[in-house]
Amino acid sequence: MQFKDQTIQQTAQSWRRKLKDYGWGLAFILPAIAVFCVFLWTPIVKGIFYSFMNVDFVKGNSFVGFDNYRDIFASSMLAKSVLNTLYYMLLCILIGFWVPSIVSIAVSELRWFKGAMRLIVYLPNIVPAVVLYGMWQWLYDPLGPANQIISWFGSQQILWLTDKSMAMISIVIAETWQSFGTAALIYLAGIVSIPKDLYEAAEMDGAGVLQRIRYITIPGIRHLYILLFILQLIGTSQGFLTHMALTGGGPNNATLTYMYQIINEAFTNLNYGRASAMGVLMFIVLASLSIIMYSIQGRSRQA
Amino acid sequence: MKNNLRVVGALTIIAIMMIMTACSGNGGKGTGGNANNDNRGQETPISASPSPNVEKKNSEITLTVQFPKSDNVVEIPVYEDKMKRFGEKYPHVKMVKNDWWYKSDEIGIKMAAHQAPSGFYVPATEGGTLVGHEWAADLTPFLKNYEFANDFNEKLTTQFTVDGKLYAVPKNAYISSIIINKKLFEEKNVPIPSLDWTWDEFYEAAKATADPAKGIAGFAIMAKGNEGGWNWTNFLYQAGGAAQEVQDDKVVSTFNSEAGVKAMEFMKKLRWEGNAMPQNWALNYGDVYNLFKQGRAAIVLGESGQIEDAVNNGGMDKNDLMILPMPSMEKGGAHVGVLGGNYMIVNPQESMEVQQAAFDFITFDMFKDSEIDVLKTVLEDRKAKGQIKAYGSAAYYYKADSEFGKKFEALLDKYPDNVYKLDPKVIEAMVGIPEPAYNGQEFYGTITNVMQEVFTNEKADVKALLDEAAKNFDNEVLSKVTIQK
Repeated sequence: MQFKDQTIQQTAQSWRRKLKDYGWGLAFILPAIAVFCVFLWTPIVKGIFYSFMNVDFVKGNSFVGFDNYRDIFASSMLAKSVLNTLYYMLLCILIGFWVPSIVSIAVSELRWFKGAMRLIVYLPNIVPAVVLYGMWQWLYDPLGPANQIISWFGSQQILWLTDKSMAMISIVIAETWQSFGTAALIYLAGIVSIPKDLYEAAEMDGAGVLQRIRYITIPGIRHLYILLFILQLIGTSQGFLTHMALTGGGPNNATLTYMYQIINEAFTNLNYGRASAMGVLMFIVLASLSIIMYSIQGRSRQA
Repeated sequence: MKNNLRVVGALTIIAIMMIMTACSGNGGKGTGGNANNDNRGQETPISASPSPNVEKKNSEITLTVQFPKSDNVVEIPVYEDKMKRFGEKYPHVKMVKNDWWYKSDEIGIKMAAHQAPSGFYVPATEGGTLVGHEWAADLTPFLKNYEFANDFNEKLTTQFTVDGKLYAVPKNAYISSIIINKKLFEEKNVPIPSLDWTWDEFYEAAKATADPAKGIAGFAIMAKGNEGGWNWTNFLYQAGGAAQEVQDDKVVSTFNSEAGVKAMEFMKKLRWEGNAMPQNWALNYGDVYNLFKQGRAAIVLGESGQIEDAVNNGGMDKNDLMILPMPSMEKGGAHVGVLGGNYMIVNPQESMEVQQAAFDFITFDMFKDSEIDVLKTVLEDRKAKGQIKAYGSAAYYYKADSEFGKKFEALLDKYPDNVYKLDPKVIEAMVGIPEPAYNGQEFYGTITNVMQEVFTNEKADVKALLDEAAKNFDNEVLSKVTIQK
């Protein structure tokens, strides 16, 4: 009995100590947990729940088992939207992934106007999206500036947004311009954290600009390449905003991404159950992708 | 210790999630009324009674009134006046404003969140969706006591009548027609088409007025979003086709018929042979009318509302604009356009008392002199601003030959410079066919994709494209439809 009391006392003491050590910390993260609950975890849980339902917010939902999933796999749009998304992700890597890295290295090598250049690089991010979409619509007009410029070089008019082979490329160019600033700033922060003495030693050894970049800068920000690559894959796999604004998913679904199809299912076809099921499938794919990428990253660090 | 903390953390998260979930509404269940739901719309209660002597009764109900957006300075005083008068007659009704206006991609969320106004305007297109989802109240109980229940124009009530029950109060109906910019015709010495024009004449006019080098299109059609299919359906109807039909209790597509092929081939001809369409043909509703207002499109589909917009907001001269009926496919054929219109529905999520109040509010001025007075105020305002008011609908909620209809017309005739009235010959020539009854938006989306393929690929096989679209649409959409009677 005495032993039991002693154990209870010890446990209570240990809890008090833990509360003292971690109480404030927990108090500080509670608002964040609450926000995440409302805007992230609850929708995720509800989304999974709805994916097995015929969702009717007025008459009431009814359980339909895997019907929504069956409909998705039977849909003629699934393959098209998945392939378009993969193509879009690939284009974003080919056209957009290296741009912020090159820009940030170039800016870091500047002797003067470094601060001004950082601001200029980030400027497209500040402009409201609606203005940017309007601007790109104008730039891509058949009689607009983009075609005017290429006509100076003797090139024929390009139908940027209504040619099936060009529409996705046009979207990626617009998005790259629009969003490379954020990634460039992250790279710049990484470059700043590389010890200066490495550069000084290299200069004393007679290394030129290209050698400094190749042997010091790029290896110094290697971990950022992996991080930003994962973030880009996750971000672009969910892309639909520019597609919606510039092409509406056309011509003939050439720019219809998986995420855009989810939006169509939910808000055009008012089929929230199927849209939720598509979201769940995407969640599974992205979560798996993140786990694989992070495990690869972990292994490469250990090595 | 780490494990304990993890457990504590996990429990905290679960507890918060449960609280949040519990707080997140009724899970969409139940359609019961929520008469005392004040948390909707703009929180601007309007005094229901101007008289301080009228005390709040226990039976006070809250009506969420659809109110104009804040930039609609013309309509705001009209609504405020109506609310004031309504409040005087029904002092037990407390009114709150809600400036949400119907959008097909928002209605689902609004109904889910119980945030739609108690009564609101909807386009005729949405009849099937609204009735099918039970988002529109059956008006039978309210019509029983309504003194003008038998005075509605029957031409308009059919679109929202299901199983003999009316689900919406009609306002007006229009038949899609053609608007031309006469100035662009004159610049190219192209004769103004006659009322009984055909597809061939339409093609020649569009081709002749187009000037691609200057960015001027002969004919601008919508082809970016679902509106594309909506526009094309006019040509399908002109060719004698239909979008769908009921066969043995099943709905099947018929848009891939010979008529459908002819209508799509006509689009192809306009695009490739005539080079009459904008080079950037991926235009939505707003894009097309912006192009028209900029003088960059000679022919567009539309109705008198677009004339009003072009003059009042686009600075165009009303004498440069003209409305024509749709062309017929062949000489002597029908000038068919899609029948559309504006209706008002009562929100079935409200209690019966609020639904009754919503119906009373919607019909408050209808068939009465007060509506004539409201119109007079609007016309005086337009006159002062040098603007116009379009009265070019094919039909209104009242019968044209009724006493009320005659009063209405007499007032319009007093403002010849500020009222744009449709030529009676045009109205006579137009034939309206309602939009597809089942899954209209999805049908339009399917057709838009076919149009886009035709506009991007000169060698597109129209018949094959329509057949494939019909097959997929039947399998994935129409096969799941329950027939409404």
